[in-house]
Amino acid sequence: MRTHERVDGAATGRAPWVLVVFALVAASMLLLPLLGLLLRAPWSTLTTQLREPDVLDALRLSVVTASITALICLVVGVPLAWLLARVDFTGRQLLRALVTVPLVLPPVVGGVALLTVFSRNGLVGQWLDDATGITIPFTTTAVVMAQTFVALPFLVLSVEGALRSSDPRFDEVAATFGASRQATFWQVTIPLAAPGIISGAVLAWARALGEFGATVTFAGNVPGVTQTLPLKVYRTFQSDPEAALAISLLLLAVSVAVLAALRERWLSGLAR
Amino acid sequence: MTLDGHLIAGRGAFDLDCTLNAVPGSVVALLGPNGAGKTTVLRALAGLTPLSAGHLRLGERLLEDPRQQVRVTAQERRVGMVFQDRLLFPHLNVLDNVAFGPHHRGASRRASRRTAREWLERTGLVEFASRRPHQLSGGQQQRVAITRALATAPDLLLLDEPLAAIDAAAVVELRRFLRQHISDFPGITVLVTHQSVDALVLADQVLVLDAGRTVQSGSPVEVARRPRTSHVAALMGLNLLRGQAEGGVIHLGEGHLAVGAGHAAGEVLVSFSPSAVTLHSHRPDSSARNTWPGRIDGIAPHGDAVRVHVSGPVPVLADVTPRALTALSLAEGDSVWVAVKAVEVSVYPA
Repeated sequence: MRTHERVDGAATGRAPWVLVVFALVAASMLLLPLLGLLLRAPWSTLTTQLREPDVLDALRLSVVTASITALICLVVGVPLAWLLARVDFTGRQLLRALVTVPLVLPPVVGGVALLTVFSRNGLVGQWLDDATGITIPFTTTAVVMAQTFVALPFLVLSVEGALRSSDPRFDEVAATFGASRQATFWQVTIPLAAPGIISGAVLAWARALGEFGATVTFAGNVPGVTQTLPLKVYRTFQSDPEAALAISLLLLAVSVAVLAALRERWLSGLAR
Repeated sequence: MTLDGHLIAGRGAFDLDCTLNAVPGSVVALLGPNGAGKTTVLRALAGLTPLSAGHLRLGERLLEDPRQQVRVTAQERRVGMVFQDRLLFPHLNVLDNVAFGPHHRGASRRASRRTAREWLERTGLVEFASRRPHQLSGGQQQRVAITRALATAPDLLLLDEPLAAIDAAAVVELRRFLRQHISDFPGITVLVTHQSVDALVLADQVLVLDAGRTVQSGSPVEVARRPRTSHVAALMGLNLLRGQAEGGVIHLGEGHLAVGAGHAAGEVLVSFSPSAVTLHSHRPDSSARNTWPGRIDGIAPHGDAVRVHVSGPVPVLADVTPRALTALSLAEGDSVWVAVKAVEVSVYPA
């Protein structure tokens, strides 16, 4: 990545006020709700609110499922990104387009789609039930599957971008030195794309942590089993808005922490 | 282990068709303008660009022959390649960069590191062993890249413009380094360059490519003295003209050169150094046949001399002293008379 030289503001003239006004409107649309959250948060009772056992359960479930999801995304997503970035095959464009569908699909629809496949009379679920007696929907496994469905595209796109921006001729260098394609993948391709892979994994983890629509549809809202933090916020908000605010604040803090971590990664990636 | 190649490869609108033969220990320089296919030759030799026809044989081993559906992959060829922009692995230190080849050609990690260290000692780079590539200068990086290629003990050493993109101060040192390690190298070296001096200093054989075809091949001295393309003539700093020889006189369109008898008749190439050219503001009286009119197109400093581009029916480059230039008070756009010293002209069949 090349950084552009900073344009001298005085040389190119003052920013047009129309643009500035609209930009400020946009910024306030994003920041005002967050400000509201901060102002209305029950700061005095915050620690007791967050120490409720069912909140801690939801937190634990969220962290565990999001981490498993991020891991699954890494294991299967990096090879998919590599395939899209480095291997020529027919239908590559189509596959790339399909992979990005969950990015724009309403998560609820994703949940419904997962049900059509994995419910007890779904395409795979029926067979799975007959063969092993296992049903997936409304289990913790379903939570992970729903999260993976929405988070995987983030990782794939991030890693594919990293692979595309790293010079493919390093693969050729490795080949002329006798390295097999597999060895090259592990020892050259992956290390060179590492910053993109790490930021992709963090993005996927954050997306999984915030997942609501697909989870509530495919996994339900069962405390201790499928009730992750966002589901807990939604459930609590109807009975105890103050507690919901507290949990929301927790999620906001995690998001900000993720952004900070990513920024660090990006910077270290550029400095290399 | 001799190299016997007839490399035919297509790449969109461009196609390559050239023959390449070399014996062990020899150095082949590929010269030619950008886009002539020099890098494609290297890539084809390395197995990175497939041949569409022809063949490539190294010693007894057939590396590639599309007709017989033989294609030894890049991994299985014993080739060491140095890319123009070095391409050292940025995530590995110098030692591990050099150890990469030996390791992937079968040595254990420990043995390959030992080999790498020996090579770094031999090339005087061992002090950089634990540095990352970005901590080295361009010249140091290129020396590491050359060491990395040598460390696999390849049959074929391929160098893609190793002296390009290196700052002028480091080039002299790098050229010395290259000469030393190429002359110690027992295999065949193929060197892509577009600097004539590298070809002259390092090569046993020069191959001039243009638009994917060999336009000239021979010893460096031969190619330097009798260039066949304007590109090589310009590289060698020579004027190259095409003319008709007849009874000791060469007709160059509107100019004539009296070169004396003893030259074959017919189409010939004429080359001479810009310093064999003198400029006059009026038609010179003596040796009237070796003179013709022109117009000054450009004036630029060239070493101690001034290089004058003369256009006209017979365009030439002339090197004159700054003093001569001021004495004649010549400027761009002026009309001049060009005179060529016949004894400094070399004439050969086209």
